[in-house]
Amino acid sequence: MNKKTLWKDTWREITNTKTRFLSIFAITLLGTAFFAGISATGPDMLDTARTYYAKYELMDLRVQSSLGLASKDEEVLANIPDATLQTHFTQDVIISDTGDAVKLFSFNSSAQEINQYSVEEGKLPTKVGEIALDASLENQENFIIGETLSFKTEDIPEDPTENLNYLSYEIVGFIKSPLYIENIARGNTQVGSGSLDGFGVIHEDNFSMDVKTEAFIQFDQPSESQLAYSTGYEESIEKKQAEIEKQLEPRQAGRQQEIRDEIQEEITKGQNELNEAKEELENAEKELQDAREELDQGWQDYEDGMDELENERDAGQTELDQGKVQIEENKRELDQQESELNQALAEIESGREELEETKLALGGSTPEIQQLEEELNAREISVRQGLNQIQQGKAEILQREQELTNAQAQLNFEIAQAKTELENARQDLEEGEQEYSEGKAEFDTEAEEARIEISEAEEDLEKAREEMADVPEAEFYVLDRTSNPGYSEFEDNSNRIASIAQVFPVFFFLLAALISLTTMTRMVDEGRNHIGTLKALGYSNGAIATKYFVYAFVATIMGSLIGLGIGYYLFPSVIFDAYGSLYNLPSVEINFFLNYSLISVFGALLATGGATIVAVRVALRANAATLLRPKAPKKGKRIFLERIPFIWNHLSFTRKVAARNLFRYKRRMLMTIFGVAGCTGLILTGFGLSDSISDIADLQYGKINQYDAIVALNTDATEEELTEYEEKLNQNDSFEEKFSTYQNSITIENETETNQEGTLIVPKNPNDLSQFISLSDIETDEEYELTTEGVLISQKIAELHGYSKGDELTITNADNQATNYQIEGIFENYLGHLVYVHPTLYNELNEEEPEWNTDLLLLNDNVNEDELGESISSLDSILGITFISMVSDVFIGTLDSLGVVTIVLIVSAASLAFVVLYNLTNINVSERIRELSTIKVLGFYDKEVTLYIYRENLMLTLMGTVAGLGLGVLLHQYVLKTAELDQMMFSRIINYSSFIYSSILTFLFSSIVMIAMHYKLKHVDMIEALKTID
Amino acid sequence: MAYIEVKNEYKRYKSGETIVVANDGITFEVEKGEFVVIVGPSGAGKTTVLNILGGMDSADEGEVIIDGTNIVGFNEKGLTTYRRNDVGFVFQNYNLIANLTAKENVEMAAEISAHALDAETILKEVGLEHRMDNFPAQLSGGEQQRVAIARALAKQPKLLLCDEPTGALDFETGKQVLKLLNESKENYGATVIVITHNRAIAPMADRVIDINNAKVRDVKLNKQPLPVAEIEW
Repeated sequence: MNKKTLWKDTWREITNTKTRFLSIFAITLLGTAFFAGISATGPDMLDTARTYYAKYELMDLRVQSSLGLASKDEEVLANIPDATLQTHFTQDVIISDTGDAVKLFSFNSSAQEINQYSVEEGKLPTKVGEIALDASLENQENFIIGETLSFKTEDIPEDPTENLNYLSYEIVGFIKSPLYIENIARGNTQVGSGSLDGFGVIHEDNFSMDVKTEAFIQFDQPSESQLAYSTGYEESIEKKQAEIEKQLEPRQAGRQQEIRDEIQEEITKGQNELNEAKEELENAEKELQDAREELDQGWQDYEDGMDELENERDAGQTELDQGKVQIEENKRELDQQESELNQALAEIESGREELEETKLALGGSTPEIQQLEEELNAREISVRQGLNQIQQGKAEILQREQELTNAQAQLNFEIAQAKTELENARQDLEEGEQEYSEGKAEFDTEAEEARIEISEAEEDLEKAREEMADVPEAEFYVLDRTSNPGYSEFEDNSNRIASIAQVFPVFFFLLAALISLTTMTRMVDEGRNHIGTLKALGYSNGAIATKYFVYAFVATIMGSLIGLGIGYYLFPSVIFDAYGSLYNLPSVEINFFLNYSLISVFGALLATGGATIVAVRVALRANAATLLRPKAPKKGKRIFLERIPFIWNHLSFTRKVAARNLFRYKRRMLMTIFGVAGCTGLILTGFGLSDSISDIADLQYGKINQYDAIVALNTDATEEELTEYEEKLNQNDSFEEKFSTYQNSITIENETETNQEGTLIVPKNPNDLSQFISLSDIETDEEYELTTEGVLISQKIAELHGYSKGDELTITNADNQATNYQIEGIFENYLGHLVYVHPTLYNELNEEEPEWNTDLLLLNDNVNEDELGESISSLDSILGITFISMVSDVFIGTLDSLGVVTIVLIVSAASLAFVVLYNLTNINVSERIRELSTIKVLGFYDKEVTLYIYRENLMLTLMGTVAGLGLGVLLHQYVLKTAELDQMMFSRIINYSSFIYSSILTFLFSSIVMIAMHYKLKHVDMIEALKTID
Repeated sequence: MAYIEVKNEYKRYKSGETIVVANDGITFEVEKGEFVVIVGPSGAGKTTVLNILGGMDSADEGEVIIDGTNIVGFNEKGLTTYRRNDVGFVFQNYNLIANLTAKENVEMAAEISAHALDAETILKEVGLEHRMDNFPAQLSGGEQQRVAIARALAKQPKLLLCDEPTGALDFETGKQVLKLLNESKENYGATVIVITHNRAIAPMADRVIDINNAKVRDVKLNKQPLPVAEIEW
């Protein structure tokens, strides 16, 4: 269009009628902001989580084994193509001072590729004895960086000393893990009260375990299938999961064999040791025996020695004594010989004297004498010689005597020496004897011990052999991300918002179209003269209409573009913030969505464009002359009410005027009513949603579920173990009563609708059921009784599958066995799909007694859950205990956050209400400015002028509100059905207070608008308004 | 002292950068019960005078004394009260409330006024006995103007201000309306001020104030005003 002036005119129109322009602008802004914002929130939330998972490399699969992951298991996992593997140790411990149950993960900075930690404060552990704690524990007083914490080793089922080298650690940091995106839930544990309070990370070297406990696997995948929460991702992971499970299958027995081999090795080693020990014992005994023998020999030798000594001494003495006797004899012989010789000598002497006398006598020697003398001499010589010889013999005897004395001394010495020797030997022997008896005593005690040890070792070995026989096959658990606490709930939450996004914006657009229509109609009405003039000047209809379209489109495009900007930013931020307390994810990722942008911009253009066509069409059809004449004012008319004088005559004058005005401008009346109704309806829906959502927890955990805890029993437990469990329960002060049930996961089949997962519950004593669970009709509140005729099912599944009483229900259990039941009643229930079956009926149809695997506990008011949890959670007979209070707290937390979403709805609806009311009132005022100026000139005070128009507005608002409350109830029902997840039913009831709040809010906005109008009316130039006639 | 005294009254309007002087030291007097015609060409400033006299606008300078009260310097509320009790307006295009019947239009004014007359009586006086329950759209222009006059008279105003009351009417009807206004003066003792560019009306007035170019050019007293029937244009 090269009609420059026309463009100029359009531009001036915009600048001169800012309010009108702004109202179209504002309503499209609100509409698009709301639509795009709410629509973007769900995807943005998921995207934020995705980015977070990608940034911190969240694992795709987690593999655990009932027997730990041996190196061969790791090998299998390592051979998975296009995947990264990371293994680590874990250990659940309880922190001594605080009693917090914490899962410890081993950490090795060089090997942590998957599930990276984000360090919130401090650092990750770099050496042994350091721990980085879950950031969610950070606000606890006891946990401060630099402080030391230690783990409990007693009174817990699994002593960490077996698996950890160190038991106390210095806190070095606070961290987050992509495994735990939720703030509260950390999963379950066998230690403590049954649920984990957090996690901790310590250096790998702190662990003393042989095999890793867990493996994380991350796949290198094409990017589109890596989008967490996408169907593509889930399908691809499911496939890989199955593949890994298949590959691990041979390892079930393999791992079993390995452990058996290990045990066998131990057994062999033990046996050898045992044998050695036995041998040693025998040796010791033998040694002891030898020692005895040796000692005995010693004593024998000693005795012999003593005897020999005696003999030798006696022999020696005898010999000596004989020698002495000999000597004495010899001496005597010698002495005899000597005396004989001396006699001989004396005889010789006397011979000589005789000779001498003879000689004398003879006086001389005669030859005879001579001869005799010679003879005598010769004799003397021989005697002398004999004497000499005796002398010699005497000397000899003396010598021999001496020799004998010496020999005696020698003998005495020798005897003495031998005696000493023997004495020593005896002493030695006695010492030996002492030693021996000591040794024996020692041996006796030690042998006793050794024998006990040996028999123990033998028992141990026997046990080990049994153990070896009992080693089960390894069970491998290949878990995907949904096993992470919060992972699926987060998706649920974002889906809930996404479903709200499907319903509300439609209303916003409807209202936006309505506002555009009234605004454009007014604009065209005001421009009648203008259109007529242009027509008269020869402009084509198209050219004339262009102005209005341009006007509307400029406002719409500006509004929707800015609305997109605001919406994309504001709604995801606010709503995500609401979830901030629930999830420890980073700030929301703001994304631009082309589809939502196009839908909202074109939707808005369609709405305002359509409204413009409707508004302009009538005017363009008229000819220039008609248009140039002022539009005949709408005729006054009597209204229906005037025919009822009773009412009419009692109305004050101004009320009559108001009443008549209402019906005079029927279209505006309807539009205002519709507009107000729409807004009130939206506000009520918001409040109602909040009611419905926040009521669930109270209804489910207060009204329906009366029990306080659920205990999952180990169906393999022995009688004794079960007795122990019951005793423990009875000892606990908190415990009041328990109720046995059989609960099992089932699939509820339906030919036309999607099959649903649910739970089958068979109470052991159906008569006591009402004490624990109240099953009643939602309408009549009448309590159902479980009969043998048929089953009771929860309301949501009945709604989803369209069941009613008397219908047949087909359920299949995990083993794919199908059973048909007749539905006897549908009871109020908000979470999950439940089917209650009478035990007799169950027996009849399944031909087996149900296994009582779940106990429901009633606890008294002063319950100490931690204590109760600790006292029984470690029992072999139970698999776990869950306290309703905790479940309900977590649940309430989620619902509270959803409450913020409803607040966003309420605020959005309220601002919409404001814009709608302002707009309609504004148009009302501008349409009737002459009338208002007239009464102003007539002397109506400002207040009266405002009231004059406000009365109408009040009535319209009142009607709109009433209609809106009705609309809100319908809309609320619709949104509930849309926004509800399959497994959840929202409360269908809107609280009375919500009706009141919605009404009050509507009237409040209406009043605010009126106040604004009041000031506007106050400054109306009445002279100007009255002067011009157009 | 005259019933109405306008002394040295100034009114200036800002129009962009220029200041337009609408009333430039207007001074005149009107006695009680007079029928006054303020005459002048378009844009002379006579409507401004009427607005100021009627309390719809306030003078920048000077005095406007109505029955001894200077209304210059009244605030919005004071002016509204003044309009409510003391002034009756008759506009060129009637400005009746379309959604109210003739009677109700009159009642609306009467209802808020301190010393109002009965609506039905007034309507009878203006000769609309049979049209009382008709809506403005069902009435002819002259009838509508009569309703407007009745509405103005109902509150027994000190001042009946009429802005081109015949402007939208044909000659005959116009005359009937003028006649009615003249009768009102006589019957109700109202002081009537008619603003018109139509000089032909002037002879029927007791006092003719000629305004031109924002100033009073002439004030003429008619000792013998012409009866309406004799006026022609």
